[in-house]
Amino acid sequence: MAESKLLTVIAREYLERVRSRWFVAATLLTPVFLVLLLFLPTILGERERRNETGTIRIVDATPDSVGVLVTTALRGGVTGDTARAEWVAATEATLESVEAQAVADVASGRLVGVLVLDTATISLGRPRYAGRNTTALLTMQQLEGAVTRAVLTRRLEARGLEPRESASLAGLRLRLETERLTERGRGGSGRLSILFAIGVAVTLYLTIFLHGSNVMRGVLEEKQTRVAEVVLSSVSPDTLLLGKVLGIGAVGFTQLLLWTASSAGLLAIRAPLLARYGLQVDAFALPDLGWGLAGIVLLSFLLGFLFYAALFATVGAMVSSEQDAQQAQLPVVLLLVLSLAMVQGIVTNPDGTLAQVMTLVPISAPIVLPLRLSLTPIPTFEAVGAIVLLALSAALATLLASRVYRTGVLMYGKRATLREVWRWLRAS
Amino acid sequence: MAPPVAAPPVSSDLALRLHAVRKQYQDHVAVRDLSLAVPRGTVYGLLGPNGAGKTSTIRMLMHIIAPDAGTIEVLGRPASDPGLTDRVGYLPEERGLYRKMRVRDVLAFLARLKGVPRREVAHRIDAWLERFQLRGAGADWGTARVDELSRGMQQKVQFIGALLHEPELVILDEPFSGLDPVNAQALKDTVLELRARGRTVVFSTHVMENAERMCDAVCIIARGEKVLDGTVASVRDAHASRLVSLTFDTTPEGAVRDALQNPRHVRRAPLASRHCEVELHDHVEVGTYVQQLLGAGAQLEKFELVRPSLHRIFLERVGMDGVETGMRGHG
Repeated sequence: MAESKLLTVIAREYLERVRSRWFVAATLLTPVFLVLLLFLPTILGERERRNETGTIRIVDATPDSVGVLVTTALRGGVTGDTARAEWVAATEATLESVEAQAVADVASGRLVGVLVLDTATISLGRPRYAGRNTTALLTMQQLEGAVTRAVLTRRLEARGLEPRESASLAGLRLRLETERLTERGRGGSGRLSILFAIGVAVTLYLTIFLHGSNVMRGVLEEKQTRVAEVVLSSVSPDTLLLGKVLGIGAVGFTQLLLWTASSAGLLAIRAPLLARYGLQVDAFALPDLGWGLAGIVLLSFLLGFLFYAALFATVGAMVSSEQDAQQAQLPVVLLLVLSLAMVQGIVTNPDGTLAQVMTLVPISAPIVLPLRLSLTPIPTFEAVGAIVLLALSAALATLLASRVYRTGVLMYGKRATLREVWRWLRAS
Repeated sequence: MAPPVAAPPVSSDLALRLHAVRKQYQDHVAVRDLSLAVPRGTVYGLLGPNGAGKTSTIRMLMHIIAPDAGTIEVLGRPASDPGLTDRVGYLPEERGLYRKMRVRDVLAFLARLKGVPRREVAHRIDAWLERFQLRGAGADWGTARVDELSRGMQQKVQFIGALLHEPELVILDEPFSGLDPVNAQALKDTVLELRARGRTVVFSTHVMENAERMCDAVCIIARGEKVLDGTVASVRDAHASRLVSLTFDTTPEGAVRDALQNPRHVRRAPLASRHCEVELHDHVEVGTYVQQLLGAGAQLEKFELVRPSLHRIFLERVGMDGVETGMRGHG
């Protein structure tokens, strides 16, 4: 009988929320946001590339035609995309008039910009560019890179190297940069697995925060509308609180499942879909994580949610108005934010002392444990210890919450002081 | 303090039995040594001014709060028995429902919490909604959200919620507050009908007219203490001798007037020419008083004992010095 009452409470909490417009919107919009995140950069980038009709004129007054190399690079495709470029030869004597003509063409809109290359400026390391798109940082970087490589190639040639050899030597710099990036991560897919780990941590933070504060709001609503008293004449406060926490937890769980499923689906169709529109994409392979990690993530959500929901429920039982709740929830929110703030430090050093400590501390364990696990293997005893500690803390927090709740849920009109709450704790 | 009353033997004829119940909050005593018994199948009124301890008492009956001392039996079982909740219906003083839920869903939720079988919920809700004019003639408020209803309608919905599981005992805390006359009458009719079907109804109120018309028995409490209890008839009879209506042949003067208004005997004796309605102190015998009047030379035309209304008794016992008596501990 008591079980059926608990189920009735759970069902109400779950159905009322899942049916609400807010839930539908949040659940649907998040994957839409995800779609934008996955598809938009590629699509936008492509559109920009196609719309880039402006031409850069390269005025070349160098004796060894550095400009030819630059033009080839910009057209060709070292990076595969750039504005169209046209090359105009000049001499020291004609430079001034040719440049003036190009500037006039920029002003009249026929050109986007003009790049002037002559021996003097190159030896100073400061070739000139004038144009309407000087704020386009990427284009400027590409331009700089192309000029640097061209000059380098010519200098190597001047030292007697074969043109091919010097070109490949100059090109090597690009490779080095890429390698520096990957050094941060571990192995080939390091960057992706960091992104994924941060994604997991942020998602856990968001769902725990969102649904935890929903528990607080639910408790507060029952106090404010006074409906608590009617319900408490039918069920015990413990049943009501437990039903609320479990019902709302199930809402969060549903949302997580829907998001996971839709993200997986989107990821699967992303490449073929983009390819159909003729867009090329790099592989977006997620690190191979296995069922173990998935289990830990879900367990972390459940226990972390229980822990924080209990704290939020305690806050809800202590206050009587939305404004009071905003203030009183601050300590709980800070605990959550604290664990999120640790993410950066832990990503850069997932085996460090900070990471180890934060894994074991229950307030951050639900976020840090899955984060670390998706970055690096950690000793079993550490993971098990973290889970056990978290489970114990969740149980303790629930006990605390139910005691405060029992008294607080019928207190209307004022905010309980900590001393009062302490008395409630000892009274029950 | 009153001498401790021996607890009467457990009786299943009683819907409620309280013995020496006490509830203390941090700074004051809300209920002080309250004992009372409510027979099954009656309508019982719990009367008292605001802050008398009615709501605290009712919450203890519902086991929402626990008493600090004393015993409470509901339908022959301890109030803490979890099996009781499905047999008792409750309308709290602080009313409210989930605002965003549809009326029908709220009622179904409350019914399911009280163990009403799923297949019966819908038609019971229909029947009650129709009865309180919330459904029928083209309109169905059952599909509306709670916050779209007027306060009176919300109160009716909440009342329905307390009755859906056909409880043996219905406890209503200030059920008439906020109801217009039409809905108040519907509520009264329902209460009397419940009694006709053998149910017990306990309600609190500070409107004595309602209590006098509807209740079989009442208990008046003030400052957390019982002032009096019993059937309405016996309470009124018990106070009949306190109130004497006197008509003189001539307007009393001098010694007669002194005897009439002797503060040692009377609490009040407002004189209106030849007529006076005297309220005697508790310890004064009517006979002795009248004899003293006659001894002073009074010429009485008429003399009768007045059976006071509950309102009058309430004012007399609580409104005057009853409150102070309560404060002192006991008169």
